[in-house]
Amino acid sequence: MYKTPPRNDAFCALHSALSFAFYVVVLAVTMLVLHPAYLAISLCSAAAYLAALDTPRGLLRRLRWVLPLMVITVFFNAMFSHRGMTVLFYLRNGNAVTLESIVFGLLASVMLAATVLWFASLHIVLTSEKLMAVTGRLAPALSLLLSMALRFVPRISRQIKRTAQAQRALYPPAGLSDRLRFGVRVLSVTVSVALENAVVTADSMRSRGYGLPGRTAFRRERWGARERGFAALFVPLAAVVLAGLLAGRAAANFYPSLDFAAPDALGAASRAAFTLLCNLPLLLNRKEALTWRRLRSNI
Amino acid sequence: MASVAFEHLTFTYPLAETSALRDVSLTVREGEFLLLCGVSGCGKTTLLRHLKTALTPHGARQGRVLLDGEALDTWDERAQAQRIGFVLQQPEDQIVTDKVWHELAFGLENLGADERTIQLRVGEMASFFGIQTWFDRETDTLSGGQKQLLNLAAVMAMHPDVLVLDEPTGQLDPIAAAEFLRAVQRLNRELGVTVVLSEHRLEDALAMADRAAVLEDGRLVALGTPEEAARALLAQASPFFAAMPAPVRLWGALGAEGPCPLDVRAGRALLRRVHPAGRSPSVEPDPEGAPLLTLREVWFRYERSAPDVLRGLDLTVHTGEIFAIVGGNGSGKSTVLAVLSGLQRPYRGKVQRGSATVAALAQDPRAMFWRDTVRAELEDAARALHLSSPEADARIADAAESMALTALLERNPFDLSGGEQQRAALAKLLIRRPDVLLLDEPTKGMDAAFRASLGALLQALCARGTAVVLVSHDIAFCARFARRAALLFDGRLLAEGPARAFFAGNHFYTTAANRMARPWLPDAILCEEVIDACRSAQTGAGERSSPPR
Amino acid sequence: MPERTDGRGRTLFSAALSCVLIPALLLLGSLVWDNRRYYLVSLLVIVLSLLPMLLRFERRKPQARELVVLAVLTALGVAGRAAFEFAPAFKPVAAIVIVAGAAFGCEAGFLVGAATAFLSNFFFGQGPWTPWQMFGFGLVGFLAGLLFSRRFAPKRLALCAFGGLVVFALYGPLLDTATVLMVSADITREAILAALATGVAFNAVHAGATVVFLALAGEPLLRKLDRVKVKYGLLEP
Repeated sequence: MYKTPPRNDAFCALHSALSFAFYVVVLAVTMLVLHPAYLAISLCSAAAYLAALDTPRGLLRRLRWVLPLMVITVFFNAMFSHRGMTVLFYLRNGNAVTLESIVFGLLASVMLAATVLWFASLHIVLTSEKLMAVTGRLAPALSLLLSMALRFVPRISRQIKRTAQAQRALYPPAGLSDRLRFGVRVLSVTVSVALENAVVTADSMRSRGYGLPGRTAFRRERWGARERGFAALFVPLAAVVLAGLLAGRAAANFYPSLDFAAPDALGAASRAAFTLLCNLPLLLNRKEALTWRRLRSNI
Repeated sequence: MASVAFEHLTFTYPLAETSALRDVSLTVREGEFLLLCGVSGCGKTTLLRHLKTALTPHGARQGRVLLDGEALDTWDERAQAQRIGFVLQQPEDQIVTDKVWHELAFGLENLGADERTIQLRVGEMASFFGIQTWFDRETDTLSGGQKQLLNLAAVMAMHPDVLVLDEPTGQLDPIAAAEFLRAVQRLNRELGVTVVLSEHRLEDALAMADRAAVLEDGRLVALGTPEEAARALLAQASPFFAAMPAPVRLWGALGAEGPCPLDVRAGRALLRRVHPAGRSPSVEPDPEGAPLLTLREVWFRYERSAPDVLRGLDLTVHTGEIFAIVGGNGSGKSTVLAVLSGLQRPYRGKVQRGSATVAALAQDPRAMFWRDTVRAELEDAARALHLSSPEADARIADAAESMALTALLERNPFDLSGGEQQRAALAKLLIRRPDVLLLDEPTKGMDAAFRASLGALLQALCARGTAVVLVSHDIAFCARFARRAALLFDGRLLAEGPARAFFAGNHFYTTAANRMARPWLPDAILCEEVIDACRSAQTGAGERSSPPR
Repeated sequence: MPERTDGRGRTLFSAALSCVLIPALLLLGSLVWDNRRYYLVSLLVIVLSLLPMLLRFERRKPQARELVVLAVLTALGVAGRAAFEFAPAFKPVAAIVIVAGAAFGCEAGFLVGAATAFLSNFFFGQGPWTPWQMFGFGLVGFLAGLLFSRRFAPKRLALCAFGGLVVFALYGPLLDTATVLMVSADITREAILAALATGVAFNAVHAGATVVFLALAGEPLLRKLDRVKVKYGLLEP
């Protein structure tokens, strides 16, 4: 089940366009840049925000299945990538295991972990309602389709249960093949009932003017001072990060030998900007917490 | 504000032999509250759907429909969508989106309203209906009554001039239904919205309406104030008069003198003049059958950490009886049925089922169908029992006959009316020859005639030894057909006993007839009993004159 | 601000956006992210193939009845996946998507597939796999619509064969390849073969489940959909 966002998280309360833009930038950098500095920043920030948003235990729970994935990634790269100059040893089939491919595997595994953790917090921040708001802007018909489907999901799940109950009274299933047949019958009945009901939904839509030209999309969001403030920080930071990337300051070459771009002024600025950017949600929360404390001490 | 009118409207569905509407002429005045009634299938829905081109059924049509004096089809779709609000019977199916706030905004989005307008209107309607506390919720988590209120509010956010409601309370329990109708009344009184409402449960609606119109076989047979309509029905000896609220029936039976009483208070005033006397003809309770199914001190909850739903419940079902369980929403009525059927197991207490077979009828009978014809459904149910073919044929014929399905055997179960679907589902269960039949709200959405025929069918089953346990909000139905009854409250059955004693002893959970006649005839629970007592009082007037109490 | 949704402007804008953005990103990718180019290119291909279908749907302004049917089928796919949560490979999603495509055509099949993948991840977790799943299931539905058009009433055997094949040989490998693209720099034949080999068991179970569901439910479901189609004129032009 999707969680409702914690009400006290300031970043969750931001305009959907900002949350969306944030995750697009962070995920794009994480998934496309294989430079150790950027990946380390991304992984740490992702973990920190997830721990704040969920709980430290929730973070650990996710790490438990991310870690094996990371090991597999390293192993996979070592086994199947034989490029690179620094041969560590040879496999029995004569293929070389190189330092370069192992380092690549390590970085790829960090990338994977950071991505999974970012997606975990995205799952909490970008609720279906927020994503609908984003898609509603770009593709209103599709967004309505998704909203309606989300409305039908719990209904159909319930209908499946009810149908199973009713049918069990008539045909108590015994044995595996019987049970499968029973499941299929329940599915087929559910479809019939759901489609019959859907006709009423369609009537209700048409009677309320669906299909008239000039439909608008209402969203319960406002672009206020907080959004402007966040955007004023976010856009320049993203620009600096991008400038660093474009200027090759995040370049990482693995083959034939390891070669990571060393930080100069622009590189350092780009990394600092990325650090700040990744932690904007936490900073926003921190600021809000301070405001609250001040308010309370004033009372 | 607006008026709507039908002018000599005749309508025939494709392939139908008879017309669904015949020469209906009816004007709904500006700001009026018009109640449209009639038995199921009399053409109410067909007539109402003519009030919106987008919903109008296909078929052959003569006559005209007017909005503000101009033909409806000259109004464009946008004007129709905005000016005429439509609320249908199924609360659940009308909801389009997943969030309450989005549902409220849906119609305005379609009209292309800008954000400020939408915000204001949605906020206004949410406040008017008291929705603001569940504004953020997902539509799926609402109760049936809340869903229907949301549908009403979503329509009202578009600021319609005419509100058309097609049996909007059919799927609601009595308390939610009364609340819904009060909201409609407020819209009519406070905002001046013209209301056209069709209903089969007339107790609340008739007293609210300015005028009532009665359809019979697609023809308008009565039109006027509730009293005029009642007099017209009485004069024509219409069978639909039996569906009128108890005070009206009483008034009609006593010669329709004086103003027509529309509620219990007015009915009592009428009785005060008549002075019904004597004991109501109390029927001796039949000797109890053998116990079939017993629950002893049953405790149940759905999850370990959840609160108890049943708390030491005792219940015995005997052969050949109809046992009715009444109680409020969420009192656990459906849970009792689930325990009786063995679907749920109590964590404490005993269920003694012996060799009795139990069959439960789903609330939505459609959940029991999956074949293309009623006959195939019945054959399927028989096949699952591995019967010999003559035995299977005999059972199918028997079940079809006892549920009055013989004429419907070749129809697709999904094309039947609600009442017919229920009978088909019951027939499927009867193939198994169950000893106990469990029914959950069997009269939901059914009109008076269907209820009466269902009751008769159930009594016929009981005469053959089957026991029926039903949970229902329909007090009148339970009072008429049940042999024993009990109130479920706080996880226990209270005041379990013969139905007459049970209903006569209650103050709220009893029939309107009993509430009216209580000071004079404390044991009368059916309207006929009150009428009989009044008639005998009228004939024997003078013999007794002691004032009651 | 609420926006008018009837304009062709939006469609043109989105089309232009993809026409400009995607080559630009490709160029960037080959310039800057040399060792991630396969991943980047594949991601863009996915997005590029999703966009035209979705744009077409937008521009067509679907009718209410069409929307509700698609929403019901999508919800059924999501609920079906949730009902078999305990066995991740044994899910009826592909079967439902194939039935949707067979009953209502390519576009419906594609939309139901893509929307089911997208929405079910609200319950199972969004991730880098989401676009691939959307594309994968969308493709399955599209092909089903292409193959089982109204002229040829689909036979049970054909449905099952198609379902098993398309899941085992198309959907599964597609997602396995996506994993390789994501975590590996050079895409060697060995690497892909190894990934496919590790996925064989999972894909086989998934394909088997699809065959079982189609064998048992395919025909009855199609019959029900046809009936509703006739009774209410759903999704008819």
